[in-house]
Amino acid sequence: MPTPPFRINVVPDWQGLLKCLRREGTPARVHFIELFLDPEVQEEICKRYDLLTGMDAGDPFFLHRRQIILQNFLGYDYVMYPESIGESVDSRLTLPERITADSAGLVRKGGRAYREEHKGPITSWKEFEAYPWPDPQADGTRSLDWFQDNLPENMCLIGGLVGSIYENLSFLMGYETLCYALKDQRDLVAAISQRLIEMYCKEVERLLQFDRVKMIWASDDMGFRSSLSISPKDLREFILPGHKRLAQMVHDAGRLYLLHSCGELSKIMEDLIRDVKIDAKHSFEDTILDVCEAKKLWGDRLSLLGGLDINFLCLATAEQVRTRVNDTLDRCFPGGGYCLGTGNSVANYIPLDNYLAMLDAGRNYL
Amino acid sequence: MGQIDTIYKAVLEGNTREVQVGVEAALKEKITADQIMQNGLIAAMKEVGRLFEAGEFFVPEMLISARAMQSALVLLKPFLAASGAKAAGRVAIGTVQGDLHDIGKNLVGMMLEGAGFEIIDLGTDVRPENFVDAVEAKHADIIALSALLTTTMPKMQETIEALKAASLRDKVKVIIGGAPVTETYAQQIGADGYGPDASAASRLAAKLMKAGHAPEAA
Repeated sequence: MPTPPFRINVVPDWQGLLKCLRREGTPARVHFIELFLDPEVQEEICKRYDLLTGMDAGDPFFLHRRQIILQNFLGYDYVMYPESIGESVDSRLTLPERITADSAGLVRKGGRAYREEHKGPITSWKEFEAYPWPDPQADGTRSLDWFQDNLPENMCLIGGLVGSIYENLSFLMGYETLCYALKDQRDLVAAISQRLIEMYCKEVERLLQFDRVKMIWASDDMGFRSSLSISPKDLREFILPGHKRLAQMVHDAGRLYLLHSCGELSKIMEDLIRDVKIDAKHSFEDTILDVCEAKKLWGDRLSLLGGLDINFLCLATAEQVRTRVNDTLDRCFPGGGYCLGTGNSVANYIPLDNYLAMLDAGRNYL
Repeated sequence: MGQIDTIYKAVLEGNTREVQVGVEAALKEKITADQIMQNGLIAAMKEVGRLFEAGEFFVPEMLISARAMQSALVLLKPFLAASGAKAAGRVAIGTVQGDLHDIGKNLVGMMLEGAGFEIIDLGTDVRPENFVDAVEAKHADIIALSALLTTTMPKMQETIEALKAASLRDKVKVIIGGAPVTETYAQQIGADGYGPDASAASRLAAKLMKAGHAPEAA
């Protein structure tokens, strides 16, 4: 029997997670949250701890069952759908990539893919009309129906990841092309953005039909280390209205709207909090803004997710990780409104034992 | 508004056609190519850099202004060459070996060009020996290294080591930049400077040339 990585058992508690995200007081325990775990990380954990013994890989719902087992084992209160099953509409967007060798600890077979930065598949009206836009309803509700009936009662679904409006605008045009199009072809930029917003509205509509979907998680990187990727004016014209519309749909259905967005977003944080009305923000980097500083700035109006810096997790010892978890929780846990996790995602280049140490330290916090 | 002011404003606003018309009109008025370059283009790009560092301009605005500036340079180059005007320096720029990202590198190149430097763009995935060659055969005054990945950053140190091995280290200045790069790292590997963004990189290059640490451009 492999030695379990955690000293304390955690039982999923989606209601506790919701209370935490609504900032309804200090939670009974630490809740954990992640944008995603890289497939190599998921595989390694399942293998190392024999999580899939007895499971039938030919079962049409094998991936769904695997997610429940894995998330439960790791201490999460939820399963993310459709992201974790590979059924998101984004996965069906045709986008050019460049591949390089992967040097991560848990190596990605086939190499690491990067988006084409210069010229995407839509740089003209002709290409816009010809683009094979995916149907967000194509996956139907088969998986959602299955989760509705089979997800353990103490777990919920997070509908995600959706709403990559800016990201996919920049991937579809190519970031460099988009930059020039903001001067030369603003009508085309508007058309692509609007098409993406409509696509995500349909996807969110599909997810909200199911009451086990307790929150929607949008993921839309709008900046980089020192700045926004395009001006606040252009984000306010082309992108933020889309998030506002999605958030409104979600709130009207009584759920929460979480937003992951990498980058230096200080110029649009008030837009996101007051106008879009996001309920929680994810993605924090030490070189931009530590999550503990974010708590001081916005913690009374916004819940904060994750924040254990990726670079730190890559370079620290397990003991340093534990110390930092305790320090972060000392400052962010009281009063609720904080879930422990990495600053971005559980990448295949983070030492697995550091990730597990982070979770273990969170379990041992109280 | 004089032609220089027209050119300056058109670069700031990224109006390529207006810049070209302005340059042609200025040349007709017998304003020298060097004056147009210094007071029109370089001054405008300096302001673009300031606006970017002040958080008022963003990457698109920089690229659009740089495009307008480059269109003017195409018109001015024959006149600059004929007048014997010298570049501020010669910079060989590239993304290091194993790294394919180049938007940041290209932006730095544009800002350097806008500051009057001659650019040798080595592209992406550039081996250390190619940077060495840029100094040896093409007489670069400054080597500018870009990396977007933590895993490719070590190639910056390898490039510096390669320059040392070729006995060229004291003949060139090395500046580095990119998302995972820091001032501390620059000091650690013996680089001459770190630029946190394209505008700062351009100012750094100008400062290094002014300090006289690199030889004059050929």
